[in-house]
Amino acid sequence: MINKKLVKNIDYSLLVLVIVIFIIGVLVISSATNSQIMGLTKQVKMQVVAFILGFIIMLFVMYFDYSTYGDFYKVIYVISILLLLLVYVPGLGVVRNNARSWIDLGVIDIQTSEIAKIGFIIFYAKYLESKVGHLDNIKDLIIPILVASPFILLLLKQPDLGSALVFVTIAIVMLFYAGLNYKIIGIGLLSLIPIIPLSLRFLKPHQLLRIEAFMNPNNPDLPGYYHVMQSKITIGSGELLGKGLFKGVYHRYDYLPVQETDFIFAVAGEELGFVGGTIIILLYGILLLKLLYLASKAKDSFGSLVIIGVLAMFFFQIVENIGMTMGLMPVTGVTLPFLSYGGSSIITSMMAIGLVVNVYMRRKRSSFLL
Amino acid sequence: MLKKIFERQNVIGIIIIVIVVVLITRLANLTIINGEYYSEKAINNRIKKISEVAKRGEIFDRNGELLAGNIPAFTIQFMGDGLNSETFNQVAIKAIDLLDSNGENHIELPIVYNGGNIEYSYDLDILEWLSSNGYNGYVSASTVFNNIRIREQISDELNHYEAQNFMLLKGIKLPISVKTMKYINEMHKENFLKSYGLDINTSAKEALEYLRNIKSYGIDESFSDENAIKILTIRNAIKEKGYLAYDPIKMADNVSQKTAVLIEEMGMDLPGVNIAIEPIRYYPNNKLASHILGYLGKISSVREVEYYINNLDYKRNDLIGKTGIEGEFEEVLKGDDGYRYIEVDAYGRFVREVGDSYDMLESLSPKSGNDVRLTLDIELQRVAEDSLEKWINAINNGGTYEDEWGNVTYDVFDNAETGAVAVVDVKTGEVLTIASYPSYNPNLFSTGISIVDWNSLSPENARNPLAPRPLYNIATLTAVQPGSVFKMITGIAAVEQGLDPDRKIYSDGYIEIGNNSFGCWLWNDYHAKHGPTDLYKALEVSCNYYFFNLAMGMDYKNNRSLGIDMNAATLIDYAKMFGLNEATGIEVSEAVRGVPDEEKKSNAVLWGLRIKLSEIIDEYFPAFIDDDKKQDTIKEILSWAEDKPSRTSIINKLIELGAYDDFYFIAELADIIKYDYFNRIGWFEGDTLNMAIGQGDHMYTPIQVARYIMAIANDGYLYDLSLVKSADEKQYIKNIDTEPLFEDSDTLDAIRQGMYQVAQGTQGTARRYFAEFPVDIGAKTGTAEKEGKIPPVDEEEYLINNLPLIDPKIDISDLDLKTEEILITRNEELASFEKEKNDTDDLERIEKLTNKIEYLITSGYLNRESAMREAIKELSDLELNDTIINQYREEYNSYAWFAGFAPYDDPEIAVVVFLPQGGHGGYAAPIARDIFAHYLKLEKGEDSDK
Repeated sequence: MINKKLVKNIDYSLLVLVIVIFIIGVLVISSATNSQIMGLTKQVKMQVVAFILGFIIMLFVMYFDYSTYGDFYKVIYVISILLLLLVYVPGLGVVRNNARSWIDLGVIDIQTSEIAKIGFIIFYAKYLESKVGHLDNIKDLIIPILVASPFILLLLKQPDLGSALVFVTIAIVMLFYAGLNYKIIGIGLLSLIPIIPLSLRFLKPHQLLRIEAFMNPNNPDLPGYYHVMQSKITIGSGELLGKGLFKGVYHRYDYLPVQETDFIFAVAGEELGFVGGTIIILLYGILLLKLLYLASKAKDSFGSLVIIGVLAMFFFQIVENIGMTMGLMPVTGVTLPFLSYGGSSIITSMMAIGLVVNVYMRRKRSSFLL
Repeated sequence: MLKKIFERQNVIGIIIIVIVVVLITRLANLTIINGEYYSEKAINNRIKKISEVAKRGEIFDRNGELLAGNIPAFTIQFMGDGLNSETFNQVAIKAIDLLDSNGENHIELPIVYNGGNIEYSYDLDILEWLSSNGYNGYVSASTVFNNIRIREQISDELNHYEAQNFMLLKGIKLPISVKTMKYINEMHKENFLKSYGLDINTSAKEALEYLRNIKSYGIDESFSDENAIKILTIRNAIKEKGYLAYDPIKMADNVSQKTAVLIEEMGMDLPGVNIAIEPIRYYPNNKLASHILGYLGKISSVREVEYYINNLDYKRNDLIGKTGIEGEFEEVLKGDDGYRYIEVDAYGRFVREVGDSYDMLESLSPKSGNDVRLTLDIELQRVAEDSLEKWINAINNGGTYEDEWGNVTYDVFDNAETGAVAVVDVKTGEVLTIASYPSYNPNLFSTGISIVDWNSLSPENARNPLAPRPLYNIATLTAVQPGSVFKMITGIAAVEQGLDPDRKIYSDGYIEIGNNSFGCWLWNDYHAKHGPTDLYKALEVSCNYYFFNLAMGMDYKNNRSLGIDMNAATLIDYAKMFGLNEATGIEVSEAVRGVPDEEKKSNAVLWGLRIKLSEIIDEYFPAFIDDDKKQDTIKEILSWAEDKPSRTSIINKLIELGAYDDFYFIAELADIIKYDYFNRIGWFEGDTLNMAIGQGDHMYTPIQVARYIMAIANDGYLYDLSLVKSADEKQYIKNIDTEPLFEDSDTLDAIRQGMYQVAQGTQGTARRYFAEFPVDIGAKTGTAEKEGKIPPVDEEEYLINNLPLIDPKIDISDLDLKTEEILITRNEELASFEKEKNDTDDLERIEKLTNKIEYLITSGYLNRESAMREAIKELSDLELNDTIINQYREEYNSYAWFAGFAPYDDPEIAVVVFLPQGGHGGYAAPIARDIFAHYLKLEKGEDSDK
């Protein structure tokens, strides 16, 4: 039984925001998959089903007090790493788009790193809770970096640069929120200068090419150029008001790669134009600021850090994905939360929202029950 | 305050806001600032302009039978601009492999993999052409051009362009651009290299290496050269399109349905490859009337590029009419190409047609070319061509042939291989048939002719001017002596000058003028005379003596004047009156050589001297440094002709000019020059006599003769001939105000009466062919001799086979030895020139030596047959010269002419048959007979009105 008071404390505006973004997403996906001709496509149906499923999972996540999750943070840590290792289990793990990031559950493929992200956020929040205010020198950073590194290394191994960067962002933002000393941040930024070239050596050739392509956006010989160029054409041709929903043409006939997932924003840009695109960006901006606000309302540091982790996850995915479609960021396979087609992405995002709502509705210390 | 800003939460908030602003700014940049640019790009990428070839106008015969139409053909197109280089490369290799394995022709890179070597196909083509034309190794285009000019006896008067045109008409197509005096392929190669910014001397291997390394093509090490060439074939074709790069390129034309289906099925594996259906020219009757219809070809010469591409906006790959009606009416038939827009997917595959005015793109429908309707009667044409082939074969084999209009017996003339027919409607001047045998199938040219096919249409023995040349329209382009067919002109002239056609003049067999005897054929062959002869009989029996009399206005037997004013000028005037010195008016190319006159005659004599001198002058002069010098010397000698110099003066002049300083030796050469040539210059009585019977320097085409016969048949209306009834939606109307040549019809009545007797008279020269023919006709046969001997196909074989006749004392093994010896000496001689070339710094000297070497090689100095000829001269004790050695060469058979009209009472058509080596004039008659029978719709058994 859920306490009525708790239900009352839910921030419904957050849910409304998510549902609005999701509905825009479904419309754009149906256009991207030619629903105006084909009728309701498999992708549209799957997306709605995933959302409903995600909603139920969200409710489930909300049901237990988040501090309970904190109690199990070590177990969650291990499970999350095991999830990432699951892709190496013969017969279960599969390779998609050259990356060993998926497990095949028969009916559905799941990208385990998506769920691991949630696990990582809970674990890291709990871990950092005790460190808040004590992250003053480099020595204090060693363990936090060490505990985060298995995720990042495993993801680089898959290879899934995008997800690895999501984890890095989550970790940095959470550390920052936990009070990481500005001096260390300064040193950290300086030390990036030698680290970046060094880290490039760990990247696979095709990842390097993508980064090279990003650095040289006008060189048509580099592999990402074509995708980015097509994406920019798609968005740019939307002009101010867009061609109208379902009236986009350029995203069809294979000009735009993986349009319903990674490049969904380009489809939205073509059909909804500058106005529509701006609305979507603003909705995401509001969502992020909302999360930031909710984080400040949590009753404990653990809760705040959980929300900040979710914020960091969404933040990175939004910036990377939208930035990529407009040629501001290198091309990776990171999805746009609630908008991109994909079950794993929707469910993970809903789980994350569930965590946020969970923390927020239990913001009052006086609350009892569960 | 500062502290507040640095609150963790605020920092994150600010970052979020900054990022949102950055993203929106970027979005504004793409959609608003550059929105139009991207919109345009989106359209350009998706929407492709496809040109639509206009249907070429059709050609019909007078009854509306289709002679040239269009049929759909499958074309393989490639549109690769949406493909990344990896896919592009795979598709290029796969598609070309597929075409290769199905034996389809496709576009090629001018760099080829030739037995392990990388070479320019341009170079290979030049070498192949040279070797098939008897050159070993590379020689320059100008040398080849000049060699062929001389071989074909093309007058110096003509400039290079005119000479080239002449060659083209003769069916000699040189792959040489006259403007630059380079091989066409050489120019193509230079353009190809220039288009990549490469030096024109870049080797094929270097060029390939350069192309392979163009980064955007993405051809890495893993591709073999062979596969790289396939990829570059497509890349190069796209590059050649220049600003039309969005247009699909044509990979292969006219592929089989099987290949088309195969490619269609592989669609998914071959992104960018499409099948298109394009109309190609089709000639339903194949060879029939091919010389009139003409053929199509690629725009190739500099002139064509200038005219069609630069002035008329033709596309580089368009086919144009080259000859015949296709050529003359190119702009009428062509039509205007249109275009339409289609939407394609990212791989360049067709998605859908774009309707009109989508995105403000309007398509333009192609406008079909206009039809041309000819005056030809294709059924009559068919009869003429079948008959030509049948009777030429018969003459070739000899024997007796059964025929419904009377059996025919021929002696063998095994050089009879060619022939021509012209049939004219005498009431209108419309040409009903122009046939030339052998002919060719113009369908071979419909998508550009292959080298193999082209070679099969070239003469086997190019040195023989009368060898069969299938592309050559004998009926309109071969101008030769008409023989006795000319006698009507002589008759008309005399009657118009006052001769009574009934007056009998005694024909006494032969006339002696000076040392020359001018005999009637009856005297020459049988030592008989025609005796008292009037005009009718003279025509009937083709009596030379009678027409000798008329030509000079003399009764030679009694040595008195006939009382009429006749001379060479009169004959020439009447020949001109009957259009023999002008074009007939037909709408395809025709040659006009015309009537003889003194100048032409002296030019002919000088031409003969020139040929003679280039053969023998080397014996009398120390070695010429180069060909130019030799030609200058010859020209100098020719220029003396006007002054009629004495023998001694010629000898002195020759020595002055640099001949060996040996008076008696040089006298030999002077004698040849003076007595064999200079003394023949000028107009003599004998020339007039020859002219009267159609020998000498007359040069008429069969179509000219047909027009002249028409004017006899229709009471003197010398209509312009026409081949086109309507074109460009206009009627072609000619001859509305043609006036008859004579006020009354008496003269022509008399001539027609004589021609009636040729066919129906008891002694008529064509009687044996028309005795059983149910309708009366007028006719005249003619036989004229072709001077000279036929150059053998294999010179060496000729020399060996005829050695016992040339000099029986020469032993064949000695000859072999001597030949080898000479070859070695000559090779060493040339090698020493080459050495000298390398040793000297004198550029002028180097050029001269280069020319000399080239000249000697190309004129066959190093060939076995030339060395053998020299060896024979050296080994023999006899005074041998080329004329003596050549005397066993085969003679040309005589030209055979038949001219006639029918029906006699009310002539409807004039028919002229010409068989270049047909032997006897009468031999051409059965062909005319077949044509008369078809035209008059005669059936066997129909009773004659005789």
